[in-house]
Amino acid sequence: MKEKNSNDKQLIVKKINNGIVIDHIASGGSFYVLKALNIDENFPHSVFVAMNVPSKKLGRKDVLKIRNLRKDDLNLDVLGLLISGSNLVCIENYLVVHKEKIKTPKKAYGIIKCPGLSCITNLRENVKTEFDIIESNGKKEDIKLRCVYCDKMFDIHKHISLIV
Amino acid sequence: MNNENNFKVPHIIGIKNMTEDYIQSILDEAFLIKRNPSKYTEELKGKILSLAFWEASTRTRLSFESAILRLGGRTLGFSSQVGTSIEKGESLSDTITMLAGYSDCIVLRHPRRGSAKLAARVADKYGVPVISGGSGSQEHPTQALLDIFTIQEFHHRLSGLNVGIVGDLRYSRTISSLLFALSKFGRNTIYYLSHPSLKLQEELEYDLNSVDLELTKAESLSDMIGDLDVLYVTRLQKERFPDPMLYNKVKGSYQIQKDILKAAKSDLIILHPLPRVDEIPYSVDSLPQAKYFEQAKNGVYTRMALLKKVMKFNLNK
Ligand SMILES: [Zn+2]
Repeated sequence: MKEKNSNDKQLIVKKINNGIVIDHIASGGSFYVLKALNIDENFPHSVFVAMNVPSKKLGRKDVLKIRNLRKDDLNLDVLGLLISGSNLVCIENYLVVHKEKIKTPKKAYGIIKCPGLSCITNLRENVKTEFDIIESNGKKEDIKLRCVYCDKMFDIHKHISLIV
Repeated sequence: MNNENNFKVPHIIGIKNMTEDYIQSILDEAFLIKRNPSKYTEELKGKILSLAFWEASTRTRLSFESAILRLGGRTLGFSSQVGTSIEKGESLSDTITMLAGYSDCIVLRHPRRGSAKLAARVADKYGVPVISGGSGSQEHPTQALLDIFTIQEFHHRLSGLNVGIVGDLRYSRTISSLLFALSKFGRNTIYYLSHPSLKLQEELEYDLNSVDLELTKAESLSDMIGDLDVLYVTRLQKERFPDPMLYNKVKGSYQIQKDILKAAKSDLIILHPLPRVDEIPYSVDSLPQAKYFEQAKNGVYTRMALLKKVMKFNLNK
């Protein structure tokens, strides 16, 4: 871009008084988080997104800061499926009150509608969806969900709109 | 055993999660029953079996009915959605809850995948076993049991077999269950002949990757016929093809002509889950290899064995 001297570092560390910071998101991951959290132009709080910034650990990474959001507003299982390995930091009055590494859940309950077209859970039944998590080749980035009812296997990144 | 969810009672949802021992115990029981069916007429006396068929069925429903009657039990149920509370919009869960109160075991067929599992989870709370009579394109476990019963009856083994499968690999729940069943016994080779638009579902392919079953694509019937111990034929459904012209064009290559069978081994057996349309011409029926009617008859013995096993568990409680 034009501004060659734009200071990535400054952008990242810009402090927020209250809210959450998710750091060390694998490049491109912030996009999915924004979609999963339904963050668009109608979202009432400030959101800072840094994409593709240099990172010692990841080469490139995304960083996300969302003001006035708390841990309770997040579904950590959803985040675990989208951006496992990232760090979540919760801030109140400029102080870090909580810190944790986002982990892939062992199972996923009721967080997403099943994309299986002929799945019984998509038929007006009073049933919570349930998915096993499959790490293909042991690679975290290749995580697939598998419906325990219809067996459908899918990549959640391709079905963000089904997150409930 | 077949107990993936810490169920209180046994349920027959699919072959995938059954062990070889469990399957073999059903087959062994079925062999005993076939030898002397009259010995079992009081076995389930006073018991009621629900037949809950959301989807039309002739063979599966009638053979379950025959099986429970031969064991001394009775049935209740419905065989289509017409005129039932389901037509008014009742859910599967509610219907199963109701039937769990009315009967000692529930057989269901439903067009949706996952229906048998959901039914089992609902009925388990009431201690009532569920048996799948087909759940969408997913599985049809009792069909696979009678299929391998028939194979064992004629070949006296369930491993080291060459099995040719012709037809719809994608939407046939019968084939899914049969492949799972054959994978349990080891060293079986499947030669499949199917149109590319009807190839195995990704999920099934994934599951079969980790089991002891070799899958080989065949180019034509004549290509594989000489190697086969079993030829399993299924119906091609016109509506599964993207274009009816294509169906008309390819259907001939999946038809079993008498001539082709000249190259077959003398102990080849030809199976079909029935009903057939024209994939096996009537002229094949008189050949010694044609075993599909015997296979259909075995459906009663295997279902008797299964009902005895599942419903006796209930009695012993
Ligand atoms: Zn599903």
